[in-house]
Amino acid sequence: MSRHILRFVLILAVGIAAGLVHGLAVDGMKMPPEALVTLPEAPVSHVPDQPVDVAPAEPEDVAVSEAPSADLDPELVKLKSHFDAGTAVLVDARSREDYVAGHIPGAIYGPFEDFIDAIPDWFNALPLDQLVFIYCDGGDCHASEAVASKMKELGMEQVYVFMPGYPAWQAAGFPVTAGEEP
Amino acid sequence: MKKSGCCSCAVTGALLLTTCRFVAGGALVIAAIMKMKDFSALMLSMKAFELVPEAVIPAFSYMLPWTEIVCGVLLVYGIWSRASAGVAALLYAVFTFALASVLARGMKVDCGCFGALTGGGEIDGLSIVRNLVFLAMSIAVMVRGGGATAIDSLLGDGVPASRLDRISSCPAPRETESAR
Repeated sequence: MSRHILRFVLILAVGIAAGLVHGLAVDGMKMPPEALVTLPEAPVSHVPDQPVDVAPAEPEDVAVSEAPSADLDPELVKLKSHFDAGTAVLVDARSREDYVAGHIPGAIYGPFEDFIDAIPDWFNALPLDQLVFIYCDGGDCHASEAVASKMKELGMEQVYVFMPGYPAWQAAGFPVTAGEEP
Repeated sequence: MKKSGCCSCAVTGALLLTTCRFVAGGALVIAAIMKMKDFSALMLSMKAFELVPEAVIPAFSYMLPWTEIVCGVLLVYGIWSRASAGVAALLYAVFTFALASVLARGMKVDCGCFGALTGGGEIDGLSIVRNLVFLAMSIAVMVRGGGATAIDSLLGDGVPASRLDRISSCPAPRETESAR
């Protein structure tokens, strides 16, 4: 019995030691960069309560446009302002099923899986100083933070996470669209 | 008749244990290789689980796949079968707890268990069932040993002599047929 316990401890020790040596040798074991969660203000020239031009491509558009009310999350108001001004690229980090069912018009479908084996084409098409907002389902959804962290690791400078997520945008009555983006 | 019945039990047992070793050990090896493809993704997955303090996540992210691969290789080959199965059982128990914890908290987190092999995907009941099956297989090997095909057995290490004798004395299938 003691022989088995000793071997058990030895196997764990070898695995732990190998991992620590590898980690220290590679990059000193650092966490990937943190995602920024406070969105920058929209350009001052934009008036946030203007009617919104919704992407007309899909017949399933369920476009509803309302002026932001004073009760809305400030981050939601900022995102709406940037959306109206067209000053940022939006990335949807949710599943394809959720994206197709409904997303913010113009948002790129960009789940974390896209980055697993290669850098996705949609990322390569973005300039490194492009302002990018990433969202997922809000609440306990961490997909947007993972995508943001990966994009920062790959050199994108202005990447922000919209923490309230798609449900908050939809609940505010802001424009949404369904289907794939052209 | 009694002897061949006894032999078939022994052979079946050996086959089952071998299957358990290959599946439980092989899954660990594959999972480790997939995790090693992107350590930063593994760190982000661990952070999303919200179970481990952030300060130790980088260290855990390197230690985990290396432990999986060492344990998995030993288990597949049947070297130190009971000990490596014990480590495998510990790992699967920890994974099952982590997955159950995420589900219980209603969190939407990608498992990251097998990296790109599963194309991502949120944790669901099937993930937990899968882990429980692997856990059961590991416990079976931990309790019964690696089976006759394990290197342990070839070296006579930790296998009861009576079991080895039983398998080695089984008649070949043709001898059984002619006896009938």
